[in-house]
Amino acid sequence: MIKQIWNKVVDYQSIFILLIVWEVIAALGIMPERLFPSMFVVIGVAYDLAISPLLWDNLSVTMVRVLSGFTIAAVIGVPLGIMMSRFNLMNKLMQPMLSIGYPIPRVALYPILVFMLGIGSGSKIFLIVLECLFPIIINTYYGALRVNHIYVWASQNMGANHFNMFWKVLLPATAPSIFTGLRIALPLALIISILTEMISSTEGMGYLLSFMSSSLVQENVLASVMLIAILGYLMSVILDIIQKKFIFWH
Amino acid sequence: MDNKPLRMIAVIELLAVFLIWELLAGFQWFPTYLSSPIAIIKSMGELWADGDLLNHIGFSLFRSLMGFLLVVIVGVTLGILAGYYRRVGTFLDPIVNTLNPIPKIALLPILMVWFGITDTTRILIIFLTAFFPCFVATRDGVKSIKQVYLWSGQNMGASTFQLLRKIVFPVTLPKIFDGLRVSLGLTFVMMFSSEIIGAANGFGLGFLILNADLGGRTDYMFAGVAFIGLLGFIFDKLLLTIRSKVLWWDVNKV
Repeated sequence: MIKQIWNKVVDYQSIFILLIVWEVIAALGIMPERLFPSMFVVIGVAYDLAISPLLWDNLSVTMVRVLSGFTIAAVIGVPLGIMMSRFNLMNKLMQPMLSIGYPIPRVALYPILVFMLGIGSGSKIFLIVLECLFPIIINTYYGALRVNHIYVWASQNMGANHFNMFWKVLLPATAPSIFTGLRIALPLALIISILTEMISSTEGMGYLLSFMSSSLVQENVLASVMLIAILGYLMSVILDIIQKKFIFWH
Repeated sequence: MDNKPLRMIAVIELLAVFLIWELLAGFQWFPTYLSSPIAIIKSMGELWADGDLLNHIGFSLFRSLMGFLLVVIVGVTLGILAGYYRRVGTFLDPIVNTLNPIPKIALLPILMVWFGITDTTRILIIFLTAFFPCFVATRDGVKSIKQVYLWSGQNMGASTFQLLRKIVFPVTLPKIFDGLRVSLGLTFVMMFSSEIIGAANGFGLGFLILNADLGGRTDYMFAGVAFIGLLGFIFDKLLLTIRSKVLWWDVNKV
């Protein structure tokens, strides 16, 4: 039992070393305490925040934006990527758009989107969709290209129409690549949501962060960063679990 | 791959979008804040003639390229070490796994307090964001090297440094470039974000857009966005050109 715990500690030694170094710096007072509070203080503040409605109100707003943007991007992106791999016309129309749009930093459009869709959730969700769409489409497209032709021919031979082909053959065969795309897109969705909320918003985790930082109390800022970090970590863990459930054969 | 027809289609599609936009703006069916392509190109010209633009672009490029350079040096080195030496890998893995999925932009307020609203803060936040894709791609690339290459190298008496330089690095290079391409995109995203959050003084394309936004000059805003887009596009193509020059033996996919 003790050995198991010790092994875990050895596995995660780097994190413990980081924490200890942080504590030592804070305890020795090399940096002013206001700028560099002890981790215990930060965890205390984070706990206080976590049981207050301030966090949950802002968290729910952010989660609605992230999840709706991400879902819309997935629902548009996956069929589009598969269609591009199947139909030459679609590929020819979309490929140039992708190669032009991919390297352009799309966040720069945010101020304009605010003009068009208002400062509320609309502009943020739209930007999240825009940003998530590219990794999802590209990964789905290359994944679907690699699907073995024999499967496609076999299903055509057995009289599968486009609908059946999509649901029964292409989607399962592409699923691993789709999840690679989703894995890239999900953190992006969170980043964009927090970023846009920091630029201009009155609610959401990004707003909470900039609200805390305007008070210049560093432990509050660190506590909200810690909560955002936990949120990002949890989201990736949940995606892991979903991936294991859906593509158990991989 | 025959790229020529695709390029033609790209040009036609872009022209069609601009034409529709111009017509809608011309008939006043679009609200005026959406400007029109011709007005935007005009204000791009005005900004260019104004002279300040080169400063804006220069400062923005300095920040993003410094961040990117740091990513290339630190990310590739650490990635190769973490992939080659198992102990380095297991040491760094927990840090990377916990830090990778969190939005690094959240660290901006903390860095601002520590380093002030300076270029140090901006370069650091760019570095922190762009580091992870490069590191992860390099590490996984090194890990997937065929053991046979390493064995035969060792058999012929190569030292560890020679192994890393002559075998591990070249074999991993395609993966490294894949990671760097993602990093480069993130670099420009963070350049814009770190300039637009925080005080709007000094030079930088983010400031230009923010000031135009505050002044209600949407045509200048579009112009700034177009310049950032152009920079991102040019540097991505530059990276791909370097890739095809360096990796002439691996041209099958771009």
